Amino acid sequence: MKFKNCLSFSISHLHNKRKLFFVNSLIMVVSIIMVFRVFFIYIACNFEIIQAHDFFGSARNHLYKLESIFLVWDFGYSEDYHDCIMELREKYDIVLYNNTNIYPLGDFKQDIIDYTRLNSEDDIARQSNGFPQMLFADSKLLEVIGVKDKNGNIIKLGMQDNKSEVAVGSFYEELMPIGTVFSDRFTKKEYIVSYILADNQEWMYGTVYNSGVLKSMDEWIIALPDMSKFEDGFVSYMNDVYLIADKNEVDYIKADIEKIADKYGVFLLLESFDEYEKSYKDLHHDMYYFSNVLMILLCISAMIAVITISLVSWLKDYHDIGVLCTNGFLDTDFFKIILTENFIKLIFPGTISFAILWVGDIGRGLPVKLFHFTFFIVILLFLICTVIVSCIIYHEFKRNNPVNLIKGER
Amino acid sequence: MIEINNLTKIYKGVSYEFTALKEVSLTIKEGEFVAVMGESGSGKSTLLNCIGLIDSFDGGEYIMDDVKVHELSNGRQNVLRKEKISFVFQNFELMRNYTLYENIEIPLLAKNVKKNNRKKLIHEVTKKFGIEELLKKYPYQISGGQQQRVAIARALISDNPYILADEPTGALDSQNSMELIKELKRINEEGKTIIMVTHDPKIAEYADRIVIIEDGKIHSHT
Repeated sequence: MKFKNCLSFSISHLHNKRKLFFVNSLIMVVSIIMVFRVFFIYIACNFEIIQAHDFFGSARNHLYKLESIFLVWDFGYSEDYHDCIMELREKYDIVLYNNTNIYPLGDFKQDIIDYTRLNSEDDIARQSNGFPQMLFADSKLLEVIGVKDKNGNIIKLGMQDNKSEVAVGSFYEELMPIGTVFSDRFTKKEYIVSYILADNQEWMYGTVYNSGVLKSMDEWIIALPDMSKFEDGFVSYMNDVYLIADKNEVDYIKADIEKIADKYGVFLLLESFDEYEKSYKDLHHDMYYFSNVLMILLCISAMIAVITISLVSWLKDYHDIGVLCTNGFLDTDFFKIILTENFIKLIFPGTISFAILWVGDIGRGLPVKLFHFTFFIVILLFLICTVIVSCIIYHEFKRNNPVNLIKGER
Repeated sequence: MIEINNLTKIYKGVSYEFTALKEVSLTIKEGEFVAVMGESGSGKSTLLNCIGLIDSFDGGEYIMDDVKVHELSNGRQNVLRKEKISFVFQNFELMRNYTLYENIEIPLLAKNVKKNNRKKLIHEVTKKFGIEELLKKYPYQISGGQQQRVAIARALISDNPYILADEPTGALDSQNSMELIKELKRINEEGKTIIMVTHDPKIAEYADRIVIIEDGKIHSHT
């Protein structure tokens, strides 16, 4: 039997049992929302860990997080951390991910980080897919991260003839060759192109533990902010500094890092992901326990409700299934119909509950990615449930002769 | 042609075992109209169900149009049933929550007939039985005689060569019974092979041959 016919029959079947279908949908909507809520608590508790798993994959087995009080540079801050990290970079394979912005402290004139309008804006916009992405970054941060130019040298931005040096992505290489001078249309501040960035370099938006996304810098322009506008100072920091190491060498490296950190009078700690997860879970132990118990109980209740209503609605149809058998429907046709119908029974309430949760939760500022992730997990759970129910129903019908089905006997 | 040799059917429960068919042998030729008669519990419906492949059998040979049915898997038997056999039941066995149109449409859906053709065929067959005006109604909204005509229309629409009727007049009054049996006779004359279980001798008279079954064994052919 073709899928089109299965779908047509399933819709007609659901239409004929619409009261039961609405009851089923109502129970499904309530169950999905309930399970979503409890899953959300659980996933929110684990979100940082899930993010790290998602970001690094299996590579995380060789990555060790370099923790410090803060890997922070601020106005007039000691350069000890900077020097310490630079020394570690010489010795070890260090991977850095970073925030894009520097954050002002206290009063701050917004136009510094606000969109910079360049005189050559029209030219750039015409040739690129829009306006260039300006990145204002701390020079020390850039150095530590090691953003490189075409020749493989780490860029060091400063001032040149009262003009602020910028590095441009390879996309602008022809449009804005080294030495090009341009100015901000409103502040009249002048910039000079000093570097063309090496191809395919990436910069992290967010952090690894909070929806981090790597973006290509090929169409970026990197400039230094005007420090004098930061009246009360600023911070620029990196959350994610990692060291790639072999498991067997970690103890030695830990001791070595401690020694180097002591030399600079700073605090650095090397932690594996497992250790990080453990300490994270210890910190949230009560919440974990509560969310786990709640999740298990609610999931079981929801699943039982959904399975029961679905089974009841099908098992009421013994006679009709028998009639269909005697009129040419095959086992495979039934499986397709049962599956199709159960999918419809999931899609309909799934859409309604998605809409309810979207309006309710996103309106309250829930992160979209977390919302989608949680909803996906919940729907996946219900989907598995649907397939299981379909298999049970199919098996139940298959083990009976059509003659028994017609008589309603088992 | 249907040929069964030493067909045996045993019903097994936890504490009982009952042999409903005891090595039954029977041959039904193409285009034949055979009535199976016997007392209640004699095994006539069981025989019909086994021939119709809606019940399993425990022993013997069953050959339908040169296909050794007894050697086929359940799945293949179901396909054979779909392609060859249609049923008419005593209680009509229409699906209550479906319109008459939807009830008649079932075999065509199973055979993947296109929507337009389905519509055309349904109108042709219902016109033949004078029920084309009832198609939007539900089974509980029409009389028993009309329901049985719908059931026959459903059996005929798939154009299968074998029609198995289990007490088709059992739930009808005498007038409707006579109309129905005449209709079955006409269908048989159009070339369909009909095997009908009945306990009514007047109805059985319309068949080409009567098979009497007693205690799970064929007693006589007339």
